[in-house]
Amino acid sequence: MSSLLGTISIAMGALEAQQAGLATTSNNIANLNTPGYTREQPILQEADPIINNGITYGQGVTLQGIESLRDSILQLQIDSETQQQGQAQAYVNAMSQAQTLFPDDTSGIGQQISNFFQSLNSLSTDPSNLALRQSVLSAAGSMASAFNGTANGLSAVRSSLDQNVQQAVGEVNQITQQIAGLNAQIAGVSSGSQGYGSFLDQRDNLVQKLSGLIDVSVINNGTSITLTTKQGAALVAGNQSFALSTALDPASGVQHIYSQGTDITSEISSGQLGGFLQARDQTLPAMQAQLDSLAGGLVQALNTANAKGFDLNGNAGGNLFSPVSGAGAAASMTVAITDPSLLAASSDGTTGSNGNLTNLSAVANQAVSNGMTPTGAYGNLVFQVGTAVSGGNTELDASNTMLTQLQQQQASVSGVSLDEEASNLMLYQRGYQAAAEAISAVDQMMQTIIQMPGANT
Amino acid sequence: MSAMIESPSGPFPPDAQELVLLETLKELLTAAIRSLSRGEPKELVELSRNISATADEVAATESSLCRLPLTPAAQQQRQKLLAELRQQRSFCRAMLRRWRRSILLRRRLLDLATGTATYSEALEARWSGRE
Repeated sequence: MSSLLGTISIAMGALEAQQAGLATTSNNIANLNTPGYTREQPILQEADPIINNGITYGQGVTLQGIESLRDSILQLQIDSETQQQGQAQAYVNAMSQAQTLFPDDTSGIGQQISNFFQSLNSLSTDPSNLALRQSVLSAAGSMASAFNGTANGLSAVRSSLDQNVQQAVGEVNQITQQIAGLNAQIAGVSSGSQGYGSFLDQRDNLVQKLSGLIDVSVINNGTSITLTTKQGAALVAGNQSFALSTALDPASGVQHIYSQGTDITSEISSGQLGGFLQARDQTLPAMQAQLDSLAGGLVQALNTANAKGFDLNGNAGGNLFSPVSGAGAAASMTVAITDPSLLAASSDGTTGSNGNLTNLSAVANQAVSNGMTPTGAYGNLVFQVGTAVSGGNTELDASNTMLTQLQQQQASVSGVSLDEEASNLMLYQRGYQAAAEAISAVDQMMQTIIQMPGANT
Repeated sequence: MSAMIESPSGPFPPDAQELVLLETLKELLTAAIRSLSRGEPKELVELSRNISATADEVAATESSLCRLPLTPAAQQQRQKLLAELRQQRSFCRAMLRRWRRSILLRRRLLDLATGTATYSEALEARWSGRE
């Protein structure tokens, strides 16, 4: 039979267990609105019974520890989607900046091309009129400036992305260092203790933050986690973090990302870095190349047409624009002549002839870049940047929606429900009161025994 | 004279019939987007069947439209609807891609946890070319 002292011990154990329940519930309620907090609950277990004279006596309850209610697979899904979201967000931001360089108003290349050909049409009514000739040169200058401005703008967006890449790599290094530190802290804390869940929450939050920056694979090694990029470049192993570095790549002129001496730039496809790199190394260079092709083709076609005619002095026409081709053509496009009389409007050398203006105007309908007319090629560029932004926005919307769904699922597992906590609070309170009553009852029984006649003799 | 298409509510000229169908398609896609956004897949099977059937009807109507010039107003409305439908379709595709990825990831991880799968392509890719 169990002794009175044994019964007190059982009741004390119960008090401790109910108190832990109350403390855990209070902690849950306190963190109701804490982002990333994972609900905790005490793990209570029936104590091993004792057998005395063939009779089994229960020994109450033991507090095994406190566990966090988390779904690690769901967390991995959230991390994975966060990578997609980071990529889409960074890409959309970059391409939205580029989109402002291709306006539909009077400042855009398309409008300037139209203005230039319009000025040629005006000149055809009075080919020897110097004011009209000057208008053609001014329109040519505006068109060249529009090409220069757009090309320089694209380069500026790329430069800004280059800085973003360096900044993001710095953030990655800070976070991986913090995660390595937490790995060490978690290894030193017992998994049942109350601080344990808090460390796990912090680490989960940091991994999610890291996922927003770079593609990450998480390998769970019990208490510790190992982080690598999707292609296997080490980021964190136990309490050690592996910093990424950036260095200027002489061939491309942009910053490349290195992991322990290996260039991993082309391996990064998601997270903000993935978006920055996709815009910087793929989409924008392709657009720059098309713009250069358009500039080079247009300059060549106009120079060829101008060379077919004669200027106001009866001399054969020279270059209207300084010849440009290949990379940098759009940025360096300039008008080659400043004297309006040098415009070769005449087809026969007479001042009243406007015959060669037909050749110059015909360039508007000529294939100058990738089989497209000047306005067609420019329209294609506008369409491409518009499609990139709209496609990126669709991906971003889908990622945001998906993340909301996953976070709702996570909240149903790990989130704090006030109703549930209130009910738990009452349960633990009643349990605590009952255990205290049991102690009080045993105490009274002991008092009775002590006060029994002959008990003190 | 325009060819007429019989419908339950009476004959429609083909261009009007096409616009009605495109509007129906838009409503169906809106419902699909709602289901996808709320994470409620139950209605999707039926919606998908209806979307497919309506898209077939649109295609059939379009083939008869090839011979008929559209009025400018109908042309404008058609362009607007088609642009909206393209956007809706892109979003649905993006969401379905994510659902699929999410389900596959969960399944693969659960298989790994229960020992029915030994590994994944991701790990192979991770270590390939590094040995």
